Amino acid sequence: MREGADIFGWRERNKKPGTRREGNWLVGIGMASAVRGNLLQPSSAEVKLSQTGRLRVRTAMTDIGTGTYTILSQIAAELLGLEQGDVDVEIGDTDYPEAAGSGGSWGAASSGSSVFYACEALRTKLAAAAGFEPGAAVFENGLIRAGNKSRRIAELAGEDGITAEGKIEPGVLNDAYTQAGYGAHFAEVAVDADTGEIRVRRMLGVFAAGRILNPKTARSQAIGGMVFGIGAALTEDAVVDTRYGHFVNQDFAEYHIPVHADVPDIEAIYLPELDDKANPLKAKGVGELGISGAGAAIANAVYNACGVRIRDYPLTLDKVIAGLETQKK
Amino acid sequence: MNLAKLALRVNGRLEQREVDPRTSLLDLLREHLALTGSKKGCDHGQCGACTVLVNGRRINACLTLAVMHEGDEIETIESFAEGGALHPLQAAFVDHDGFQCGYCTPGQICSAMGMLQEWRAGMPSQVTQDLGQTEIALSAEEIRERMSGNLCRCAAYPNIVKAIAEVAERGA
Repeated sequence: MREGADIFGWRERNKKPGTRREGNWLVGIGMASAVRGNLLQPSSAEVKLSQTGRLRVRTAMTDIGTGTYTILSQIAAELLGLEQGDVDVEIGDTDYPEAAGSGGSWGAASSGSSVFYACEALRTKLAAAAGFEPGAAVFENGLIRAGNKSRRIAELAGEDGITAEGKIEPGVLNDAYTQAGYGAHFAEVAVDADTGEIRVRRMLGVFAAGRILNPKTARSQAIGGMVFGIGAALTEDAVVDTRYGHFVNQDFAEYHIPVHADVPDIEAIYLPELDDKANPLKAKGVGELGISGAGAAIANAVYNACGVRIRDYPLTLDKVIAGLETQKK
Repeated sequence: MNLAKLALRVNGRLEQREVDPRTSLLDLLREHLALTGSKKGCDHGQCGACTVLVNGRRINACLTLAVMHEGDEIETIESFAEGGALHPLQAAFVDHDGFQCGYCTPGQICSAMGMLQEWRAGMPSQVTQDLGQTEIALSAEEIRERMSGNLCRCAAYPNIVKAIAEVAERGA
């Protein structure tokens, strides 16, 4: 929160609402905290090293654009001292070892941990095959090394390859500790003094979610969440026909999600953190942390801009205008 | 059912088909020519996932009938990469992580291609301040306005804008 406040320029905020004006625009800034519980689901994976030196990772996990392929290949490559390009990640098939699937921001922690354990098991098998003490073996550049002795791990795999499995299940740490990712959202908005139109001008999110497995894709997920916050705060409204129970506005023409023109420059930053109570990767979920509180920061910025406090999403023009009218009375 | 004869060029190749005259250009591409890069998002002209280039101009392929394009030149996302080399727009989308699930991406890239051509031709947009100027600076605001017909629910917008800006700057 302090980090974000410094970067965003929170000190320049006018505490009295409605006091910063640029032409017809009333400008304000707001913030909100972000908390998203961290979840772990039972997950299992199988890894197989072949004679050619390629490592195959199999788990019935999904990748809905959140980067499962990328992080699983990173984890496996790092643990076995291979290049990421030497790892083939095979997911999305229920014939593979059972996994959690995507949802609840648990994907990386759950499937990542199962791959972690599978690779640990493979390391132990490879060390045994090489006749090395498992604890002393180092894996790098396709080699297993202990002291001044080393072997190519591909050679140890043999004709049939060498397979290992890994599994994670929520354990005592889940009950012993409250687990969550945390963060703070900052938003600057401009509100048209006559029409009530709200434009988001810039946003910043600062988060702590344990070890960040891939900075690029984690940042993209946070930004995606923050844009969801813009939609939730300003335009997205599923209207239900209470007579028949169906949605009235069921397409993109009537249910308005943010478009390019609604989304300003957004920055998302992760603070360094390792959470050793979460899972062996010390990583926590990032996907939904980005949306938690993002809309609230915008609603607070609207209040700071024009003094109108709206407590039901979305903050549409009619609600803003009604508030501005009340102020005049 | 009377089928309509149709000849058009798709990604440089002459294609001749007999189709139900109600077939959309998108369905012609996806169902008849097996070019599934162009995506069917809403089939309503609201999301832009089906954007392709017709004679160099971007169009929602779901909102136009195939038979209206006799003799036209169609370019889809499949025509962008040459050999193994990505088109500069594709490479920039990868560099800037301009997607998550990738469903809107073919439409975003085709739309960006058409948009850059419109911009180079001096076409103004809703946010262009001075309509008299011959060279319009392609600010982030201009890109956002001109790309607003292409929705992205993963909300990779900031990254997409950076990718397009980079390509525009390099003049690719």
